[in-house]
Amino acid sequence: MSDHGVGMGFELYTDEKMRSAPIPANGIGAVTAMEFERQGQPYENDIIWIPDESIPVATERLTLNLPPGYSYKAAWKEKRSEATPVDLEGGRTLWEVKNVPGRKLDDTELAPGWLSLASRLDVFYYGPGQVVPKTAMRGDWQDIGLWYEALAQGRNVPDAAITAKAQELVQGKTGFRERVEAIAEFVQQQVRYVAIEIGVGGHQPHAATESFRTRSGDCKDKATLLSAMLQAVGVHSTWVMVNTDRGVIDARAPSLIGNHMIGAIQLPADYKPEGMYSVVTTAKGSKQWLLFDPTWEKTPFGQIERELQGSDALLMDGGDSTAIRIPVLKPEQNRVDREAKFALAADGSLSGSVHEMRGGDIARERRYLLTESDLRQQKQFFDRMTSQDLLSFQLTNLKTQHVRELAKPLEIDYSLRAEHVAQEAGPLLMVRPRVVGTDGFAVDRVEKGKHRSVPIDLGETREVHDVCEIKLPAGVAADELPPPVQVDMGFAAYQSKVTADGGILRYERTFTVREITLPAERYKDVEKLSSVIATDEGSTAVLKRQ
Amino acid sequence: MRLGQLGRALVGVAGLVVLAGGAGAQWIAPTPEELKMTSIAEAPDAKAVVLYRDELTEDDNHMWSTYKRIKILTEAGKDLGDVRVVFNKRNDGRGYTVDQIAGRTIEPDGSIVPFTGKPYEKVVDQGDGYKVAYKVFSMPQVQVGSILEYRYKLRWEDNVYAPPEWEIQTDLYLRKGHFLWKPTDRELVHTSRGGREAGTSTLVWNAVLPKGVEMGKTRLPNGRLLLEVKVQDVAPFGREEYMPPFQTAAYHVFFYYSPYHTPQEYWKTEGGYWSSDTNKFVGSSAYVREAAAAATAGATGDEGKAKKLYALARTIENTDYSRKRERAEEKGEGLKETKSAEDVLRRKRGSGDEIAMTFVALARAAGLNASVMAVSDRSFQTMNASWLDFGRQLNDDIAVIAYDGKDHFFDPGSPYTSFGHLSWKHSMSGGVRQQGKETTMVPTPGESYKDSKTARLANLVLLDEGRVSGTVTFRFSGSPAVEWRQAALRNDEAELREMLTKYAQSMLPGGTEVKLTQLEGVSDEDNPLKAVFAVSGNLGSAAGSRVVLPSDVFVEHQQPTFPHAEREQPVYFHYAEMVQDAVRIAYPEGFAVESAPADETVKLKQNAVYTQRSKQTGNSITVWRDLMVGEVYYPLDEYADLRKFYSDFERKDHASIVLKRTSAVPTAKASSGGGE
Repeated sequence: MSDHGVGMGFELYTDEKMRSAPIPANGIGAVTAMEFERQGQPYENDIIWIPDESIPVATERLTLNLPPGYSYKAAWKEKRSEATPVDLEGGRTLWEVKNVPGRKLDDTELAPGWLSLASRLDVFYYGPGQVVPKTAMRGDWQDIGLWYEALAQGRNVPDAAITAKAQELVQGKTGFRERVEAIAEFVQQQVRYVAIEIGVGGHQPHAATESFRTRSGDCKDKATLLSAMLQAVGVHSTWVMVNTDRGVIDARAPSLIGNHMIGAIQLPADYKPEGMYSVVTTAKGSKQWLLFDPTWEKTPFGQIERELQGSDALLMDGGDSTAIRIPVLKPEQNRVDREAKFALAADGSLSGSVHEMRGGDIARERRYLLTESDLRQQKQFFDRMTSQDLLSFQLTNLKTQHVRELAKPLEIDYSLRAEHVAQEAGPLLMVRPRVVGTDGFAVDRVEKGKHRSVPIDLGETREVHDVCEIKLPAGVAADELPPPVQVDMGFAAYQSKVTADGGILRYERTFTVREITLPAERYKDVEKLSSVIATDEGSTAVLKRQ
Repeated sequence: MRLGQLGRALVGVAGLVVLAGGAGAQWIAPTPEELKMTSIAEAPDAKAVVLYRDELTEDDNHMWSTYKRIKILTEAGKDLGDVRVVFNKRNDGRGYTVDQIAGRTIEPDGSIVPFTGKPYEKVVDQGDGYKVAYKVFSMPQVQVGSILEYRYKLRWEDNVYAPPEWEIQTDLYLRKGHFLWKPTDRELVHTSRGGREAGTSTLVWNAVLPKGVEMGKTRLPNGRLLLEVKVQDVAPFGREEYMPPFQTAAYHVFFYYSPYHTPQEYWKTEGGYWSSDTNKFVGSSAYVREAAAAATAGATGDEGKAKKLYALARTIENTDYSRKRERAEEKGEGLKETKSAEDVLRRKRGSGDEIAMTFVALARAAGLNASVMAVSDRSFQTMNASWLDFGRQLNDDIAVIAYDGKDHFFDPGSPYTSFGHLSWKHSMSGGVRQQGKETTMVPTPGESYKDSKTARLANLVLLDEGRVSGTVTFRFSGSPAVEWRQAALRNDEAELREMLTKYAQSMLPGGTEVKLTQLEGVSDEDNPLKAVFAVSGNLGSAAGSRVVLPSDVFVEHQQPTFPHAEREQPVYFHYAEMVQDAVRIAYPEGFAVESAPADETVKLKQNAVYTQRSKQTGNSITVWRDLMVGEVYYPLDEYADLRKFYSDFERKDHASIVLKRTSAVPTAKASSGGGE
């Protein structure tokens, strides 16, 4: 028997521990029985029961044994028909599930998170003498919001140092947006992510004054500091509990299952948000909020990271606390424009330049790469990326603009020289008009043609636009070109066209993803689109020497 | 402390890996250059640079202190503000703790923010009598441009003397480093294999140091020796694909208090201890003799006997790949600890090393001249005779049998390694083998490229403009087969089927459906492992009247092996091998081959060769591709040639077959054989 520290890996410190013991004689065919008892005095008056496992479950039970005078409220997410509660009398209630199929999603392409698909029972219990912060949660979002606000009470109050800094940041700025953005950017960029969670610290934020002093904190600390700094300049904001796996939080099943905290900044009455795409309303439309995640350091102000889009979340607002749905970005708000110009030499080599612009959350990974890795790692990344499309090449003159200016599209420029891009075939030259840029979906070919059992998660909405021009060498002309492609599946569209004019071979395509989640039944359409894209990306133009 | 007087001091605490050291009590004032620094020319865009690292080990004080000054250069470097120091509290007196943690952050403007927080104790593993944990702390107000400065001390019990292990080269650039060891002059007790004790008389070390850096030795007036290394401008250790094991390549110094005066004496004596213990396990029991006799009945010659005994050893469950039994479980079965080859044979199970020793026991019982050899596992380290640590270097046992005038090496502890061969991890390695009553250090032989073969065969029919249907067959033998088979052992056959399917998918174009239809030889190490797939989907692309097809579907989507022109480490493959492809594509009536890949040969001296050729027969075309790589290690000065070889043939891999429609209306069907 031994104890181990546990955690999700992001914490510098957590006092949670796990006790483990080897299972004797656990050979094939063996049945292992295990029993343990865990005692606690939790701050949270809820139980989260997830019967699903990666292996099939024959029977699993939850028995709730409450003292006299206690009540409970329970709600299922993905309810199973077998799991209706049975009153065992004497304050005891039983839930039982049988024959739960095992679910492994590790190798399933375009799958939602495991927890998103798992059935879950949230039980809130309450009664006389319960030790919880001020108010016990009674199984609705409003109560959870009130419980959290009680837990965090006083921690988002600015002191003199916070106030001074906040006022310094907004000095000379008069518009609501620019004032809020300056403070949001400070908390996002200048406060280092450090998670130290002790006891209820998994939920309760550190005081904003402490986070400000050390310039460090975890997600809820950063949301709390954001609130304190905004408060110092007269702007109200609050906490929003989310889960980083889309679909884990379900508005119909109030729960404390969230694993991340972001901020909601209240917009002035009648304020018309411009360039703010993550805006929600509450209190029957009377309050308007901009969602902002100060932990995601590379997602622009006004947007929210793709993992949260389309998810339900809890916005804490006292008696108006409520579940919200986080907006999904429109494709054009998450856009890639790639423009390449090359000259093909008679020996089949190609040289030219690539200019790429990425705007929105879709630039996030590139911004991380360009700020958090060294030159060698960056070079290796671009080499690897290009090697998906070309074999023998030299990528030089890598230049970037607006890496840290999240409001502006990230611009990446580089020169490329590649050998033997055009393959000689007798008098012919075979060349792929799409020289760089591999997009599309990685579909699961094991499941191809089979029934897709889980919904589809396409990651993010986006619009990717490519133009690639190849100047042909003297005496070479296009003989045959790939046919144009135009497919619109509703959730996504793809079109491409190859033309040859004036000695220029021109490839242009637009790939648009409009939705991020689809039911399993649409998988055949995703497969079809994937195949269309893969074929188009590999299509060849036939050139002929004159 | 003298032996037999005040008690015993312990030395060479196993598992002490890390860590820390000490320094003076004062902080170092930053220079204007350090405050202004935004990058360093030697490592542009490095996330941080260690301006100074000082490690001091004072054995008489049982203390190892560390002092670091780190300049943060990029946002990624801010993570270095989170510091973790491992320690190990133990009830047996061999543990160590950490204390006197102090630190401060110097901002780019020179202002100082002291660390006033509390280090937290984060448990890693805690059990009966021990606790491995981290002291973790977070430096305040860390930003790009900050200088982080901190120190801490590790402390051992009064009877423990822990010689330092300096890991000089890390993943950060080191501007200046100072490492100092003040060894004790007390006579210590060295505990080696099996609890054997001897008084120490020598200080020895294994060092890999930058060019021009020497171990500094200072003899104080009182006769005490100080050992010291000073380094400047140590580049980060660059990790690359196909690089030799990291453990033996980075700059380091490992010290020992040793009873031995030379490495030869160490290996001879420790090898003798190991051999003696091994022989005890091998034993000479009647049960083993009877088993050997029964197994070799009818066998002729030494090799014939060895084959029979190898087959017997193969029937023993290898618990490295199935599961180890807990003591409680064995006790429940009335079994004591496994102490001999007889125990292994009776239980029909054992670890890989135990199986190797049991094979030797059987061979000796059959009258063969057999010995055990302890070898390095080349997957993570190579044998280094100046590193005096038998247990950490020689991890596995293999067997050697002498007959027909030469030594033959066997690897019965590595599942599915066939008779007369070694797992690649043990080939071209080295170790200590029994040789009569002595032991000697010897290398292990390498395996030929002919021993590790992957054959891939595609038999496809072009249905229309780009769509194909047919079969793909893989045959693996030697090391590739062992890897797949061991994967099946660690998982199960269903998992192997899935892995093989994904392997096939990874080669074939997107949109191709791949289904495993036949799997043979999963447990038959004497024959190839064979997997057959049904495939269908888009393979080529249409362009007007032409269809363009890849010449070799197995490598069409393979990315360059060496895309980077620059490299810092030598290239190191796991094993020599041969890969042979044959791709036959039958096309419909109405098409003709307009262009086919030319016959090509590319060579890399005598080390590797690539050939490609094609042939048209009727309405089909077949392309053959052979790649043989016979050498596994390429020093840095051969990288350019190696990269050119790979680039040249990988370019040829992407040649196309061009089919042109010769009739106005192509027929949908093509004549072609199925099967292989």
